[in-house]
Amino acid sequence: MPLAMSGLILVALAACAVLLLGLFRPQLAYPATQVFLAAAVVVELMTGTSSGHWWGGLFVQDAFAAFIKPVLLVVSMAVFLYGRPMVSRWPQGEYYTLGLLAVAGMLILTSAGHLLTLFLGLELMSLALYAMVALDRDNDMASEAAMKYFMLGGLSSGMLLYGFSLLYGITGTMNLQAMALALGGAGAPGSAVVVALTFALAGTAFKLGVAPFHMWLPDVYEGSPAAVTLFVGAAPKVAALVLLARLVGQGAQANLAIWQPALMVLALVSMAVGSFGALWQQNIKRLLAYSAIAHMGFVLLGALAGSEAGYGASIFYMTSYAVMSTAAFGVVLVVCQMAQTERIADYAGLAERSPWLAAVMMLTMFSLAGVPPLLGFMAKLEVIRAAVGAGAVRLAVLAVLLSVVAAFYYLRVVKVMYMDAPTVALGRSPDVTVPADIKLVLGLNGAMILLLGMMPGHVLHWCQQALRGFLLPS
Amino acid sequence: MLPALPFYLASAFLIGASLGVVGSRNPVYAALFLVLAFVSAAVLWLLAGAEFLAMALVVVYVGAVMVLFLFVVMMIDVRLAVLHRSFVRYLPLGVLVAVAMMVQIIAALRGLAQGAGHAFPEGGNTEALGTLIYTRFLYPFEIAGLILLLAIVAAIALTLRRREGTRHQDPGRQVLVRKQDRLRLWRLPPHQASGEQLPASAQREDT
Repeated sequence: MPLAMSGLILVALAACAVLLLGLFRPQLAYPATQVFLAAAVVVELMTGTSSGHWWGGLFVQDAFAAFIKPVLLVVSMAVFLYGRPMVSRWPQGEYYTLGLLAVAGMLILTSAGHLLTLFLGLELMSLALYAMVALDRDNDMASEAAMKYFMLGGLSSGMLLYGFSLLYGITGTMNLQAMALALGGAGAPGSAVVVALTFALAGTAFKLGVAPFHMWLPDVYEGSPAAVTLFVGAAPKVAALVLLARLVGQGAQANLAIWQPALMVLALVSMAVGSFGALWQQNIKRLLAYSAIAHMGFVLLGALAGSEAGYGASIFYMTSYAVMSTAAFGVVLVVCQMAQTERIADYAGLAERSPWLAAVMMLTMFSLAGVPPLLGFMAKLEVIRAAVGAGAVRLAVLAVLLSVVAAFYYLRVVKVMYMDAPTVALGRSPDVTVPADIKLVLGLNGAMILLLGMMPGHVLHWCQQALRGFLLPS
Repeated sequence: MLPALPFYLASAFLIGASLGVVGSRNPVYAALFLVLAFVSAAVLWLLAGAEFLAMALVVVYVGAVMVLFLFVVMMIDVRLAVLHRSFVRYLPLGVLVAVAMMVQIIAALRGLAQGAGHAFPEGGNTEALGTLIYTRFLYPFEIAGLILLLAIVAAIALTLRRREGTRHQDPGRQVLVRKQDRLRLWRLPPHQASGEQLPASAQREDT
């Protein structure tokens, strides 16, 4: 058994342990989850460098997986930390077990060099997410959101699986490396490959939340309890990008001519829908949902280059987005606890009420808008550079213009927080003390957005290193 | 003819049962016909040498899925008149789908007749499948186990909920009850009529 699997095994065991713990000592489920995840981070950092392929590519450890896995684990830790006050009334053992199983699914997906484990990991993650959305049974909107998420998620999994079966039928292998060679060879029939890749791309776009496959996203973001929205919006997005990189980037790397135009259309439509759709939103979670759609379009800008540098830029963008989205939802969660509101108008006066929260939110919003010198600016710069490198200059210009449109609604949130008079919700709400650990981590999160934006060199270097050797030498 | 007799018998049962599923007026009968159809299909698979699929069909579909299905059919109020109206309405579409499937199957069989024969693994396909699952594909098999665990946890977490104010039994506590918890013996003076206030002289008799 590969040593690099230890982290995954630890997380899977943690899920079982937390399930039992939740039965007898529910209050220990949360600390145990965090301890296990922290241990898994350490284990991943220690064992991640032992790279190789096992069982015909079912399990793969490469520099890419070694970079992504700690990111996924750390993001999940922050997500559990922010969500804790809100989920304290829910069944503890079940919530954290589902969360840990979702994390295990993402780790499996990240280390998959084979269609079988790619799909199983994705499903393990998705099924856990559907259940987590519905876990608060007294919340009717959450049940509706879970139903929508489940139906559309099931549909997208079906499309993905259909694409997989066609790819297997064409190439006769489920190993991604062998598949790349077979698809690049002369024997592969062109039209069948187009159909197969179309289905695979559509399924991936659904999971990533890219327009025009984004319909589920605003409803699910709005309907889910904020703690779960935060979970859905952070680590699983990174996992969905991993799916794209593994399936299209590695498996179909020879068929750039087929999927590059498709990714260009997806990126452009996604950025446009995300930027214009958010302009009229009154609910902060819906706003962040459209913002997610726009950002996924930017992520595709890097991926459509189909080069190692392009995927490096995409991964950097996605990691930055995970950091920013975690911070934004962290503030949303605290305000949710404080004033029981998700309306943007109710954020008025947040700067007076709690300058700390408002400052973190302002940094995050500026960063999401792409204002220098914050993290979001560096991330946008890198993917646009990758797109220009791939020859998509017009697309890059459109991306910049659309990010100007998007800046409007991010700045509106800042304006409401700092310049408007407080509304009833925030003015009259009782004093809720924010736990010290959440304050601390939110502060760290905001500091990361600022500092990594000013000194992106190290992280960017790691991202580029992680992609070295990701593609077959052509 | 005679060696192929089991095949024709099972096929006839399968076709008859399928017609019964669609045609019967009572949904319970329809469900039972479906069970018969599954069993006949399992026999067909057995004849074709796919004994593992046959077993799985009987165990999973007949044993588990159909029993649940029967429960559901018996519990919900099925409006037969509405069901029959929609049956007539969807008949043309159904016929179209059936014809399309027929054409595809015939085309596929034509292609198969030209292809190579089946290669049966040594020792039956149950053993072959088992060997593969527990060796080369152990890792995905374990992941499937995790997915099943997840399904169990999610299903129970989503359905089992304690509402405030409902009265429910706790069998564990019922079993643990002792005589002292429920039974109290009072020593009453013999002349006292029943139904009146207990006299102050009445004493609790601890047993």
